[in-house]
Amino acid sequence: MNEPLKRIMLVEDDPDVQTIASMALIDIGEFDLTVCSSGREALERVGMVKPQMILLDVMMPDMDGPTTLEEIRRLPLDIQPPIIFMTAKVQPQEQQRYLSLGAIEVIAKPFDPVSLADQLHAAWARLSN
Amino acid sequence: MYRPLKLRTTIVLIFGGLAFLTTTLVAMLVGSNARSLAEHDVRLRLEAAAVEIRNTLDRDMFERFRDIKNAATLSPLFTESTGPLRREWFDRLLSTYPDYAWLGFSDLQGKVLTSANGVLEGESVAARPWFQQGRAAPFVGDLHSALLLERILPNPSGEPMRFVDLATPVKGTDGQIIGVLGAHLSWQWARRIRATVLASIDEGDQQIEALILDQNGMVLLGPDAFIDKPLTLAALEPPAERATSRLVVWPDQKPYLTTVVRTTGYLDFPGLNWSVMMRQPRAIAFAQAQEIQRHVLWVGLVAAGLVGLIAWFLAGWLARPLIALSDAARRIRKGEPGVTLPDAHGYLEVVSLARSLQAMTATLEHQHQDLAEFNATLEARITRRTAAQNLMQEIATAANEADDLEAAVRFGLDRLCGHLGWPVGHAHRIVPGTTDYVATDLWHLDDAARYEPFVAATRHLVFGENDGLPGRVLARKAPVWETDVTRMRGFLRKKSAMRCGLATALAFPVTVGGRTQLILQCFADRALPEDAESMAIAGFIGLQLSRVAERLAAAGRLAEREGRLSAIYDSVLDGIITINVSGTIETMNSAAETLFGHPPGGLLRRNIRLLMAEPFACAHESELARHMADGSGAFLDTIREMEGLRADGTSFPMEVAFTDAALDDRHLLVASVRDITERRAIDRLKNEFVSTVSHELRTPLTSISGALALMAKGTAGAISDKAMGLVTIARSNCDRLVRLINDILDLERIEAGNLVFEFEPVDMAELLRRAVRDTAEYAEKYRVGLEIAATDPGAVVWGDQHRLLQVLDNLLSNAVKFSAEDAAVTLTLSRRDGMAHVAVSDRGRGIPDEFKTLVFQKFAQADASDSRQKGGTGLGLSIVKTIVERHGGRIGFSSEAGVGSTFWFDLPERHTGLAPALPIGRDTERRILICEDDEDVGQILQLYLEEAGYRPTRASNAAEARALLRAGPFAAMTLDLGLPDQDGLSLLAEINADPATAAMPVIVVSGRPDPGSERLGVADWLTKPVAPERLIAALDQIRFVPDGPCVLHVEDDPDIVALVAAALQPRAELVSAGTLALARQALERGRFDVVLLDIGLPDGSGLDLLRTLDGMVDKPRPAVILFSAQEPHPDRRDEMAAVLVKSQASLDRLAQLIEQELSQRQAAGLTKPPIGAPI
Repeated sequence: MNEPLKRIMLVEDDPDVQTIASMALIDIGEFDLTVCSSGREALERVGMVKPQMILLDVMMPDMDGPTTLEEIRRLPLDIQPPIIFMTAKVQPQEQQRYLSLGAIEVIAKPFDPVSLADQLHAAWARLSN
Repeated sequence: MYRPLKLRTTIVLIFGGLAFLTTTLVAMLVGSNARSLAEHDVRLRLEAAAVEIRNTLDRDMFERFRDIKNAATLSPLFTESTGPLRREWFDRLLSTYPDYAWLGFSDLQGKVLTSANGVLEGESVAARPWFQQGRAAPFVGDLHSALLLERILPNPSGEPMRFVDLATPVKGTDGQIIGVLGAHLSWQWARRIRATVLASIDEGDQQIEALILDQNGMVLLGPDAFIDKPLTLAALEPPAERATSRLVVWPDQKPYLTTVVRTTGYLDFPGLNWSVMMRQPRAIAFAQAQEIQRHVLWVGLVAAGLVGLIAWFLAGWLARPLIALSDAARRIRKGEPGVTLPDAHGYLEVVSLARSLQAMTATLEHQHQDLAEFNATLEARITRRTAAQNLMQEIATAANEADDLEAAVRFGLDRLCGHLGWPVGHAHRIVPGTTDYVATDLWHLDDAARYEPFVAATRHLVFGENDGLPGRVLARKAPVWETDVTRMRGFLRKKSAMRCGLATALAFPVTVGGRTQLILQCFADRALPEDAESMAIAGFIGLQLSRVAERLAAAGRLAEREGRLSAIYDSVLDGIITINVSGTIETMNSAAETLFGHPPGGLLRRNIRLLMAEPFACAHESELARHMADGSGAFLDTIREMEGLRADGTSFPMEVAFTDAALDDRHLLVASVRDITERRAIDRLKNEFVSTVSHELRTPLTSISGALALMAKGTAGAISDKAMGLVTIARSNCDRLVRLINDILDLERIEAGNLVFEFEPVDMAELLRRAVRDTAEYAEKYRVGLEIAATDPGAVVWGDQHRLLQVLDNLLSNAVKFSAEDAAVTLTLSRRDGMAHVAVSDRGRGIPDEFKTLVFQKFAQADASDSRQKGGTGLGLSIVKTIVERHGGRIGFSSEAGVGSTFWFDLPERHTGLAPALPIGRDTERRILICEDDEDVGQILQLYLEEAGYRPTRASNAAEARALLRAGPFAAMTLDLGLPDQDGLSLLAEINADPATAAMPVIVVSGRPDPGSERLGVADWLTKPVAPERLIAALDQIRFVPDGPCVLHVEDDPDIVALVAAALQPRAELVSAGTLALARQALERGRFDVVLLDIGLPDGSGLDLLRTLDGMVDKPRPAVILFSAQEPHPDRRDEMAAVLVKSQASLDRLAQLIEQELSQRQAAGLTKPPIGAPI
């Protein structure tokens, strides 16, 4: 995975958070960002978008983050993108649970939009190693 | 018994004794002086006599010698022609001095030419010594017998004749010696001298004797017995020119006073060197002295006798009046009638003594009479007083027992009248609501008919508060005595009283609550003077009746209040149950009955445990028992939440608090019970709500804070400085909101018990540095410096790094907040007593005293108006405290106003030195059961034990613990007392009662202090927070004793250890060691038959252990079986019993080999003694 990180998919139901995250990732991080408003939408689009990394909100109506992750993992994708959870639940044991589900990182909300892109890059770099 | 001497005897003894003593002393002194004077006198006399004899001898000899010498010089006389002239002159000389025995002149040939009286003329004297000596020089010859002359000279005495010779050469006119002039002095001369001297000193019976001895000690003159015999007296000094005297024992064995003096010659007469000796028998010599002494002694004795006699009479005179006095006194004492003390005559003292004694006797007599009179009065008084006392006693007893005031009043009247002997008594009572008193039916009448008029007069009388006798009683509020009512002014029943013959009255009040309820009156049938005692009795009776009245009134009130209380008791919402000390229900209010669904009274006398679900019932019982046993534990005043059990078997959550209630002599406990079903539900809802709300708040906050951050970054385009200021304000408040929400969430989790910690070794020094880094920016904002003043790099604790960081961040930011600008906040890290100690000190204004107790409470802020506190949520320290405590630590602070505050916390250190102290034992011996409901504490204990090489297993409640204990043996167990399903102590009791687990040591780990763990059957009692050393030390105390054949498995792979252990069971016990160091330790401490050795070990090659084995001297070397993935060098194979390569050999083969080794060793007697014997 020496390819630089470019394509990100954000799955977030809250439109305001969408906006903030978009600004952080597009304007500051200069990523190619695909924003999905629900897990279901993400499932539909992930095959097409082929994101290098998915930023996944945990608490979403209808289909929550962990379910979405599981569903994505079931998809017949060529490359399963690494997934980072974003959550307001920041207890260590919760974080642990998310990591055990297969996420590579858990970013606590509220996140710092200024350093968000750096965090993703750092996670990407760790993954490459 | 000591009996004193009579005065007379004493005086006689004293004076007689003194006189005797004095005279004896004087007699002895005088006698001794007189005697020595007398003795001296005698001596002098003897000595003088001796000297006189000596002198006379010497002088006479000198004169004769001079005569001869002078004669020799007359040379004309000695010519041939002058023969006749010469003879004539010789004759004349002989006749003038009769002691010349012979005088003659011989020629040089010795032929006597001329002699006096012609004796020996013509005969030769050539052979005589005097001639031979005298030819040369004048000669004096010692005494000798006269051989020639004896025959010729007349000898009247008949004694042998002796002479002293004198001779001198005679010179002719030409100067040539022509012959020798010789003379013999007769011994009669000496005898005469001696006799003369003796006669002068001896008056006849003095027995003084004189002896003359020649120079050889031969006695020349003396008593016949001594003559011509040598005499030596050893005790006597050698004769000297000066006379000396001594008492000497002579050969006849008698002592004599003896004097000796030597002759000395005179002028040119050289003397014969004789000695003169005088003696006198001692008895005679000192007779006079002894006589004097005896005389003086007799005089003394007579004087003493006289003094004694005088003393006898004097003493008689002194003692007589005293004896008379004492005789009289004795007779007075005996009580003889008519005896008086006699007047004494004589000396002043005895006269004054007699007078004093007379006066005293008179006084005593007087007093005796007084006393007798007083006794009589006293007896009368005592009789009266006793009667009064008995009466009062009777009244008081009756008052105590009375439950009817009327009966008590009647009793009082009867007894008082009876005591006084008065015929009439009656009572008036107040008319309620007025100040009037009316007569009651309570009368004491000795004779009803006789006093009927008085009763009738009384019956219809109403007394106002100033009327008659009752009026006076009301005024005084005390008993009143009226000597004669018929003469009293204002007495309303005068007539009837006079008719009935009543005179004296005694009236007294019965007062209740300051109000006179009754007035009692007694009447006498005669006039009597006021008697204080009777009044006192009356007052007492009034008082007792008041008591009865008060008590009866109070009893009425009490009954009323009880009714009211009972109504309240039954109407409160909380269940109230009283139990006795064994837990039996005594009362239960209706709320309690409703709560538990029991019919009224249905549970009385049943145990309260029926109202509790298990395990709470068990826990309650053991806690109650402990409380009753020693008051330990927190049974009282603790609110417990537990499951209640209803009559229908359903349960509900309830809150129970027990309080003590000592009722009279009984010890009761009151349980107040509250159904908390609803509260639980509300709590749950609240927690869920808080959780949800907090989460829900985060989402909009994410947007807000993100938006603000982007604005501030300029992502949405540049904004004005003013706008930037506003954005900054919005951001900081947003941050604060996030912190608040985080804190609230933390708190919610803490309260719900959901805060889970991830424990790992945390380097505290590093943590401090990180915390300082994290807070640096914040501190800079306040211009406060952060410094780590002291640190200890060795401090490592088990902890949740993030949570501990949270603690430090919180303390640091607090310290920064409260510091002045440019001040510094100091951090220190130290280690003590197995704890890492961290302190954060600021130099701020300190914490106000009134706030100190609230510091760790939720939402506590000392000064809400302080603008610098804007960033605080008031939750921080509460969370910090919880985190520290969940780490098994302590937190606290000290603060001084104006100086600063120091917040500190202690965390138990991870025991890094544990590995060397690893307990060695079979695997089962390293299994420790941790029974602990607190997840975090359990985890910490587990980590401690694992670190120390034990194999801990955790149980979080009693049921789990029980199941684990059934499943397998444990070497030891740690036990928390506050388990959710059962009280730890009752679990302990179960464990100790079960034979399978009774021997297992139990270490209590509790927040409560040790109440005396031996008594509870506990190996040790550790108080939370537990320092790891304490725990490990406690376990080390437990001795593991392996028995039977034992195999040491040196292997770092636990799976292989487990496999081998399984394969060997039960043939041999297996002890495993994961490192070389542990293996060495095991070998040192234990005794093994076989060592199963792996080569690749974390701290070296297993082969190195072979050297250790070779060095073992005090126990048999175990057989070594190499069981490793590697093969050893072929050279080393000989050092091992067998070599198995892990991938090639089967476990069965291994077991077989070990079995073989063990059998061989058993046969050789090398294995350990059977089970039970010490190592």
